Amino acid sequence: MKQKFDIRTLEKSKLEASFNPPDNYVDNFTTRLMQQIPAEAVQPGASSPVSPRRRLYLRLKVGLGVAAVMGGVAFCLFAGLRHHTPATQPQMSAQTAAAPSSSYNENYFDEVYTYAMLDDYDVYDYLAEDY
Amino acid sequence: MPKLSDADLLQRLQDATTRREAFELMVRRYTRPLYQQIRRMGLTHDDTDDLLQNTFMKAWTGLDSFRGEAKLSTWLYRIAINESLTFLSKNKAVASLDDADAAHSAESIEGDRYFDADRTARLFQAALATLPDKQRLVFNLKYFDEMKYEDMETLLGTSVGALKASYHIAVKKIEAFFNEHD
Repeated sequence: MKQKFDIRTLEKSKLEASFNPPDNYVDNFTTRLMQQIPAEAVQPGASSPVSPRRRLYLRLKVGLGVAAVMGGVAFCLFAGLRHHTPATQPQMSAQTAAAPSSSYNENYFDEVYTYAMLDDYDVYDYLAEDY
Repeated sequence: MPKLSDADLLQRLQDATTRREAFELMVRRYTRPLYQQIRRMGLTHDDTDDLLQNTFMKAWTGLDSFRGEAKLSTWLYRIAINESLTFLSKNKAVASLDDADAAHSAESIEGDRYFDADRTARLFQAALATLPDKQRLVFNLKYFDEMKYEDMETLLGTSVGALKASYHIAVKKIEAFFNEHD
């Protein structure tokens, strides 16, 4: 009677050997494969180069943004000046016409002293220290 | 120089400055086992060579999407297996080959100038060729690589129970083939 075949009777190492790559295959394959990956190639994960068209678009976008901001600032300044000029202009011109420039300066310094809570003695002391 | 672990290799692969060098190391390390894995699927040396190149090229371009959730080896095996199954399916060498097809498949392997085996090995190849692709794959991973079913489950996305059944059926088919042809 023919004995039933059992897979455990097979020599696994012999079977395995029949699937081995030819001699020097690993070295040759590695060399061939690495030649397909050029050294200068953009590495995966690195940012890709920007096309000239895209670069122009980005520059225009930034330029227009800056121009819009500048325009906004200019408008605000212009509108602010227009708002204040009619009210202050006659008053200023009246003051300057009535008083000499020195009195304007004195008034200004007086206001500064008051605001800073300085009196004349403080100023004298300060000046005296220098001499 | 001490051999780099797969974890260290992965770290170098993720760094753009060391990527190319690490990739070459990885190719050297995995060419042989992946070659054997693809070849055992019943493919000739030339087809195996093509599929191996595709596998590594896909690995290179997919390095960014690989975050290291799986082991490096599992990731590479998965790419190689997908490549093999797609190739086999495209070449109409799919599931449930009958004996005539199996004989034809075995003949093409035997005709391969790189196939070097004795009679038992040839018979074994022919027996393997009778198995459906996925069953053959499960058999190879268990029989040759002695892979755990749990790892196989991660690799193939098939339940442990189904894998055990698949392996058991494959063994029975191979034994029946030997009984018939030996």
